Amino acid sequence: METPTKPMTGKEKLRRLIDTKKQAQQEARDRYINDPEYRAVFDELRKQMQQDQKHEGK
Amino acid sequence: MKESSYRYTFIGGQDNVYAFTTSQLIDYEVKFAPSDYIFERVSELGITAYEMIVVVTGTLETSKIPADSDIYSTVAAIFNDFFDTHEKVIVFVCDTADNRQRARARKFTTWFYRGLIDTGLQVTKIDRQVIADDGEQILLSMFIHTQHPNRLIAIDAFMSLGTDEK
Repeated sequence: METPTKPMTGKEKLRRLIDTKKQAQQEARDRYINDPEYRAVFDELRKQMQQDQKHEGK
Repeated sequence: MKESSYRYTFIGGQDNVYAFTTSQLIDYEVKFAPSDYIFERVSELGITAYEMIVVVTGTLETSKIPADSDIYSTVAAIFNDFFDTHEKVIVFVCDTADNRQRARARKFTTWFYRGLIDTGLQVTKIDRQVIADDGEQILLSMFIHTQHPNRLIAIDAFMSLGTDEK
């Protein structure tokens, strides 16, 4: 028989929100350095941005 | 006056990740992490909640990023894209390590919310300041559609964050 999970308190939920945010920030920065596919998305966005800026400068 | 927004891309994944780059070539990630546990007390209502997280993905220190109002309108445009049903509830935790960060956080949510209103989205923002168990001051915002079927219950649950209530 499964043990019912204890409901979280408001304090625990707040802590989880803060921890999720900190973890997500770290993960995004690590992924930016280590995941070539993820990095390629930003490289493409940068390329498009530079092209747009070039066109605007004309 | 409406600001312009930057081009953005939806990367996807479990955390609904979006990406954009500014004119200063600063890279941002915006994600919406599923957070239904916020409303577990009223889980029978099936309120879908997400935590919105905005990250500068490069190694640049946040304090050195130049002011750029187009960032707010871009985050607002991304929010609008993700908020495709008025039953979603979005919670945002601000960075508040010091007074300067608190001021930046207030500015961010104010301008971002203004950008949201410009998109025509009928959404309400509710702000709270809470002291976490380690003494840290946390600024929290909740965004909820004005026509959300469980609006008052969701607001009530949001107000209990940071308390001993279950």
